[in-house]
Amino acid sequence: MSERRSKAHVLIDILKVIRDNGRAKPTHILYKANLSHKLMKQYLEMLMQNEFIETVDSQGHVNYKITKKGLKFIEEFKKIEKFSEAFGLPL
Amino acid sequence: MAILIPFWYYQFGSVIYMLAAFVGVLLSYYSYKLYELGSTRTQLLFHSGFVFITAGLFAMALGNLYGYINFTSCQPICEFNQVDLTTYAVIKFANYGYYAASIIGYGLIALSYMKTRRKLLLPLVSSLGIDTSTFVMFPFMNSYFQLFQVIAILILSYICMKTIHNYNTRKNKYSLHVMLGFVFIAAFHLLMFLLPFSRAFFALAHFSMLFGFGSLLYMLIQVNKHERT
Repeated sequence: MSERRSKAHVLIDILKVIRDNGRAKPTHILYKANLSHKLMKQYLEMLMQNEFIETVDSQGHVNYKITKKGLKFIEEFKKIEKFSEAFGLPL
Repeated sequence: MAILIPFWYYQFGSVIYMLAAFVGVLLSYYSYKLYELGSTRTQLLFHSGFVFITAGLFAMALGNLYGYINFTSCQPICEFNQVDLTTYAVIKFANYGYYAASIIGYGLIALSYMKTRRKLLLPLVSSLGIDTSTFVMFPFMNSYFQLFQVIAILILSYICMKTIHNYNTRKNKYSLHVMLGFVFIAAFHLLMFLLPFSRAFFALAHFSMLFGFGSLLYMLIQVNKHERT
């Protein structure tokens, strides 16, 4: 049985989708991160507020691009994830 | 007042406890980062546990250092196994602070491994029962020192079981070093408990503690290695 993703895991999944694609459309994030439209909007706003992602205009459409702060957050998250797994505690 | 502990202990002890406290600071920092990300009660208990353990280790390290400095400066008296009451009181205070902080710290970490609050009752009641019975049964245990070691061993046994189970599930280097870390720390308390039988256990216990915190430090170093996923 698959476990429910934590808020931090969802944020990381979105950031990874954006990072791996260079820049990503909202529909692509929706599909790849497996989220509802409402939740995705909330999480994208959260990431924008924390300056982990930024919007870029691509032929009149809004795309998202990861910032240096966002890349650093992914790295930090990986360390903390390994740390929590080492103790067998959920993140 | 007579000093029952050898003079060199204070130098040796302060170095060992200071090194362990340094690792404790790092573990407290990482467990705080974990709490910052997840913000769950479990993570808060886990972080608080390391904060208490670190505080206890610092108290012990500073108490030993204070003892060492004072004994060095009063060498002629100390040679006759005498020490002033203030120094003795400071060392005793540091020891009790260490006992209390460590038990609370281990307890909080054990709590963070418990899924439900009801499950908490069984190990707590059984540990209190065993503590009381051993306290009555063994005359040499009639001291806070021995009682502390017994409680620490019992709580750490539970934590060790959890980390062994985690290692069996994950089979990776991180969980291996956490498991070894707690096993060595538990061995430290066990060897200290056996101290009345042989003085050799003293050095062995402290090296075991050093290995325990060293293993946890190694895990932290491994965790910090850069790997792109």
